[in-house]
Order: sequence, then C-alpha cells, then structure tokens
Amino acid sequence: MKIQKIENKTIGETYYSAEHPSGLKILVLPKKDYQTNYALFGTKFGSADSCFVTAAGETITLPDGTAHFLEHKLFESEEKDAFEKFALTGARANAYTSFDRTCYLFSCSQNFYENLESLIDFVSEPYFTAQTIQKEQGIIGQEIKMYRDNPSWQAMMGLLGALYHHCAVNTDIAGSVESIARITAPTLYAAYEGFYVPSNMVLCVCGDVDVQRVIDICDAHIRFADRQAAKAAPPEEPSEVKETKVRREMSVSIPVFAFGYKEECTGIKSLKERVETVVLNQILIGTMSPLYEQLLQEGLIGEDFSSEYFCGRNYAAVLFEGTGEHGEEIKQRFEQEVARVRREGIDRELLDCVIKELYGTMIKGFNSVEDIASELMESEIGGYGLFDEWELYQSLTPEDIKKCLETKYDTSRAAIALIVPTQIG
Amino acid sequence: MKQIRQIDLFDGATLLHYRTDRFKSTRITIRFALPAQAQSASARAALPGLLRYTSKEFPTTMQMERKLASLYGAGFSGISTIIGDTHVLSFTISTVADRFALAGECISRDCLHFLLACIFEPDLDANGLFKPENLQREQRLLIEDIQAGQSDKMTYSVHRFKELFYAGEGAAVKPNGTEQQVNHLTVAEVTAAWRQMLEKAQVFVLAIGDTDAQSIAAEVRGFFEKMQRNYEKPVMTKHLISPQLKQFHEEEALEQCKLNLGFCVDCENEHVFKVMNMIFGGSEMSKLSKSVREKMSLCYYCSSACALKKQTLLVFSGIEGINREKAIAAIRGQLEAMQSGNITQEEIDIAKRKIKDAYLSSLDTPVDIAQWYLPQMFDESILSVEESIAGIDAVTKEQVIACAKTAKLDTIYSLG
Repeated sequence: MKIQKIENKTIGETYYSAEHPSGLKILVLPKKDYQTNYALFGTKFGSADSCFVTAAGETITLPDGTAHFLEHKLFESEEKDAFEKFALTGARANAYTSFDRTCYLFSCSQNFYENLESLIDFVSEPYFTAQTIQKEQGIIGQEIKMYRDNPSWQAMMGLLGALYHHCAVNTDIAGSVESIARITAPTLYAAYEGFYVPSNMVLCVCGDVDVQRVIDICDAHIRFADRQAAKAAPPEEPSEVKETKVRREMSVSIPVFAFGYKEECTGIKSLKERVETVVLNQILIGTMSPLYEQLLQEGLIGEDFSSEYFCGRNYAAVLFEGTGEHGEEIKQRFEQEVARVRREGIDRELLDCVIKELYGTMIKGFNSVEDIASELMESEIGGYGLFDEWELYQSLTPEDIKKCLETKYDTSRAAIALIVPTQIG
Repeated sequence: MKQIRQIDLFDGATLLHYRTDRFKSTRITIRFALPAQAQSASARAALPGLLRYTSKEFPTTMQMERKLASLYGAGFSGISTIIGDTHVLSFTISTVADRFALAGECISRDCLHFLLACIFEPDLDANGLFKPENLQREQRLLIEDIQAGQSDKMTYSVHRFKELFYAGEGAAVKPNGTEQQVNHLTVAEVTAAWRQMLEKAQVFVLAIGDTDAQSIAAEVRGFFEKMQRNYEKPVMTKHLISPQLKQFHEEEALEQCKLNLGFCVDCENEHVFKVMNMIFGGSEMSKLSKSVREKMSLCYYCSSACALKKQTLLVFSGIEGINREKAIAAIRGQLEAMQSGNITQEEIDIAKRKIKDAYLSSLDTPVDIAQWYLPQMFDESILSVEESIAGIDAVTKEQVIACAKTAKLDTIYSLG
C-alpha cells in the first residue's frame, strides 16, 4: 500500500494519505507534543442519500431520518454500548449525521490505539433488534421535538424546503416522528450494507500518533472489503425553487430569517468555486463590506448575520441567515449590491483584506486536532487536498471573482424563510 | 518550549503569560471583574460592543474590520458574562503567530497594542462621552441579543432558572440586564461604566503564544498608567439554602419541556465536588444519563454542573411535560442513591478518568488553555494541570458520599 506524504512548509504541517486495500481512505496528520489524539471515521452517506441503487441493482428508498437513526444505533452492541467502552479509557466519543455524511469520533489523551480499534469495531458490527429500535424511536422523537423548538434551525429547514422540491435536503436530518416510526431492522441493514463499505469511507486521525500503527489497526479491523458500495440515486430536481417565501409562527421574541440562491449541481463543486463563493460573500455583505456598514448603521442587520456555501454531491446553494425584522429588506439590498458590483467591478483593496483574513483563519485552524481531522474529512469528501486552499489564496485574482459573480445569486432561483412571533388573538 | 509565568502588574491586576511555540497563533485576553449589580448590568453589557465595533482610531465598523483583516484576520471579541457573583467583561484578540506573518511583521505586538487602544481609547465625543449613534447601535444589538436568548428556550430556561435560584445575589443578575434597562441607557451612564471598569475592576491578562512576558507587562502597564485606579476586589459568596423549597413553572407551548433543579452543597474541596458531579450527571456515563435518560426514558437530555464558588449543583433536562413529576423524583432518587453510598468503584474510576483525560487535553489549543486558566482568576493560587490531576486521584469514595450528603434541593424550575 502506497503512503503518500504531503507537506506544506509555509503552514508547517505534513500529513499522510493512503488507500487501504479494502478501499478505505486513511488520512493521518501527526502532531508531536500534543496530548489530545482525535479520530474521525466517516461514511459518505447522509440524510440526503435516502434513495439509492444497491450493488445488486435494487432501488431502495429509505424513510426520512434513516441515516441519523443508523448513527444512533451503531454505537450499540450486544454486550456494551460504545460510550461505555470509551469511558473505561477516559475517551470522549460522539457521532453526527449531516446531509452528506455520517461520522463517528473520539478524542483521548491515553489508550489511543485501543480506542481506535473500538471505534472501527463498533462501526463495523451493526446490531439492531426490534426492542432497541423501538427505544431509539422514543429518544430520537424527543430530539426531533427539541429541534422543532429551535428557531434558527427551523428557519434553515424552512428555506431548504422552499428551495428544493425533491432533493432530500428539504427534510430534517433526523426525519419526523412519523417517518422514523417506519424504520425497521431490515431498513437499517439495507442502508448499512449499501454505504458502510470501506470504499465509501474515510478515516481521519490527528495527534501524536504513528502512521504505520494506524494502518496496522485498519489491516486487522476493517471488514467488508469485498462489498460494493451502493450508488446514490437522487430524484430529479427541477431548476426552479418550490416556493419563494415561507413563513412560520413560533414562540420567539425576535424574528429569524434565512434566504438563499439555488444553483445547478451535477456533482461536487470545485474547491475553486467554493473559495470564490466564500470570498464573494465577504466582499458583498461581510463585516468589512460597505453594505454591512450601511445596514448596521441603519439598524437593519445584527451581529449574528452569517453566510454559507451549502454544497454536496447533488445540491448547491448560497445561504444567509440572521435575526431581526428586516430579512426581506436585507435580501433586497444584497441583490442591489450584487448588481452594483457586477457593474462596477471588484474592489481590489477589499479582496486583499478578505484573502488575508482567510489566510489567518486557515493558519489558526491548524492549532486544534479536532479541527484538523474535520478539515481532512471535509477535503476528502470535497475532492481536494488539505493544503489546496492555501495554493488558491495565493493565485486568486479580481478577474476570477468577477467571473464567478456573473452566475452567482440568481434572483429567479431565490427563496426566503421567516420565523415570526406567534400572533396572539 | 513551554513556560508559565505570573506577574503582578499593579494593585488588582495580574498577567499570566503562557509562553509556547507549539501553536500557530497568539491569543491575548484581558478580563475585568466587578461585583455584579442588577442596576449596572446593561450599562456594563454595552461596553464590549462599544469598544469592539469602533474606536478613536477606527471610528467606523468597516474601518475596524479592515484593520483586523490586515492583522491576518485577527479575531476580536468582547463579551459580558456573570461568573459567580461577579460581572466579567472579557476582551480577546487572537491572530497568527509572528512567524506566519507574510511580511515579517511583529503581529503579536501590533495586536496587543490594538486591543489596549480599543479598550482605553474609544470613539468619544468632544465632551468625553460615548457618541449617541454608537450607543443606539449597541442598544439595538443588546435588545436583539436579549430577545434571541428568550427565543432559544434552552438558553432562556437556564437564565431564568438561575435568576430564580440565586434571587437577591450577584449570580442572579442577567449578563445583558433587561430590555427596559437597555432602552433607558444614556451616554453618561455607559461612559461612567467604562471608567468604573478601568478604575475599579480586578484585571486579569492571559497571553498565550510565543511572546515576551515583560514586553506585554510593560505595554499593559503603560495604558493603565493613564488611569487613577481604585481597585475593589469582587467577593464571591456561597449560596445559602432557602427556608423552603422554591418551585416555579412557566407555561409555554413547547415541543419539549425544560426542567432545571438547583441544589445547595457544602463541599469546599473542588476535586471531590467535581468527581461527585461527574458521577451524578457530568457525562453520558453518569447516573442521570444512564438511569433517568436511558433506562427510564424520562429525559432527552439530563446532566448536571457544579458551581464551585457558589457551592451549588445544577441539573438541566429536557422532558415530556407529562413526565415532570416522575423526572423530578428520578433525579432526586439518583442523588439519594449516592447519599446512601450506592456508588460503584467502576463509576468512580470512570469519572476520574474522564476528568483527568479532559484535563490532559486542556493544554492542546490556545482556547483550551484560556478555558483552563481564566476561571482561576478569582483563586488565591493557580493550579497546574498536573496538580489538578493529583487532586482528582486523591479523591475517595467516602469523600464523594460525604459531598453528596450535603446536597439539599433548593429550587425547581420548569418551562413548557
């Protein structure tokens, strides 16, 4: 097995990349003199992958929330659950599901290799019974209810529901109480066998660890190398949005809003486009921009206003969110600013500020083993190398940004979601 | 390379310098601590924003943000919190370590100077008062923050619970004050609060990175020399048990109800208290999590936290409303089990391992180091990770039971 060494002298880091014979991608960034060691074991299967074709050619549609449900169940076994096993060594374990991935992780200062074996074993040994599934339906039902009380999350889900007709990002990652009631052991096994296959998975490790020892553990513990991963079969998604505006009343003291611009997406967006979009968001409405200054002075925008380039294997949109009553006006002013910058061009001084800021943020990100492992995962799923961002920052020009702006923020494919206080009477 | 040094700057001010070249960044925090007072809360809460968004040298937010970008995207934050009975205003700047500055600049020195200049040289008018337009901006942002906290029911339930549990004490003060207070703020009031912060507060400076302690001390002293200091040490008081159990319920149409309990404790040994808390509700392996959440399925989340200075034990949970009484009984039942000695050696070992593992990881990022040392600003002496681990190792089962036995339920609060 070839182990590739990738170094960046400016950043002062080196990591190792290997493709295990099973197909598993292994990424290790050693950090000498760190006490904390972190491992992240993920599969490219998230809540948006609810429809797929198995290696045998069978088309399966999963109930909403299956990926998340599976995540909850995989840390259980017949003898002991994962949290108990990790706790015996002092490790902190967790797992999460997002739209395009599910990840299992632990961090510890001692017994790292023992914990790594446990992590791989737990994820490789599914155990589902009718009783444990029923119990989990109760727990996840409560989790769903907790998020239904969260206005920021509801604004974002409202927006995604408005942007997308059929793509499963339009549904809560955890599903609904009704959809998870339809999950059975066969459902979970079908999802597991389709996507928890080494060739569809990534192991990211960061800490004071030995690369070869990590690989040796994979040799001994990785299973199902002979399985073929299923192929996601997302439904056809029209270009146009489903609704341009959604509004929901909740028990809130201040409105919350989210607006966004849907894009065509036939595959994973390139790193170049991702970076250009992030740069554009900052130039147009970031805290250094003239528009933000105006909106702040006029009392329209708050400190928590943020933007994101939301993209995965078959979806992409630029999203904005914040609190306050002026979401619609902020959207309108943003679109006016887009038109102005398209006419007048990119402010070179502002571009330089943004790039310098992104460089600083990138450098600081290499302090934390958790951040590094997460970034290794993100870069692998995004199809680029850990240090590629740095190369891009050095080469970005105003012309690149201007060209990207030409096709971004299509107002004919925009939507806004508003969460407003419940009207009394 | 690692070197920790504590320097007394002047009366009521300490610098803790954590010199290391392990990180790619430099982080400097300046904290001001004053006794928490309800009537001053909003005026003080306005200060982080007033000093963060503009300054004398950078009178617009855009100019300020571009300056921070030129410092390699320096993160600059100011927050208002209540810790124990004190109102703490913290200002932090974090940027790349000097060796990553692309043109060889001494970024750490520039950032420290920038931070101190923002604190000491704000954007004032000709009368030496904060400008009305800046105060209006802060009033709006503070009110939005207060309202956002009310909208997030988990946050709201914790703040409201503390307000009721600690009623009459500094710990009950809201970190942003109230909407009414914010609306009535005047430039004279916030300017007075700013002067009070510089003149009277206990000051703690924490610098983490490959920097020089004496240079930092000299820079900080240089700015404070301009002030007439009249330092008042904030006092932390133990919360005393209420004469009778306080119970509060607020009706609200929620999908998931919130249930919080407050206990008074008498356990001065912080290591024993932490182990007791970890066993009770401090992790997914705790009695609350395993029994009340998993076995009895009464809560979606159920955990506890210990407040050492206030000598209180707090429980936070999310429940179905119909299970309120059962959940209260179950939570009390787990504590009673501990008081009866129902604690296994495995539970103690797991608790100790979890605490020690977290301690060992405390020094692996500048943020973690800050979270280790900053809470100790009120302590007579600062403990190292090694000393704290030794303290945890020495905790016995008998001590944990004795600590649990002192816990008395004081307040129950539910929302939903």
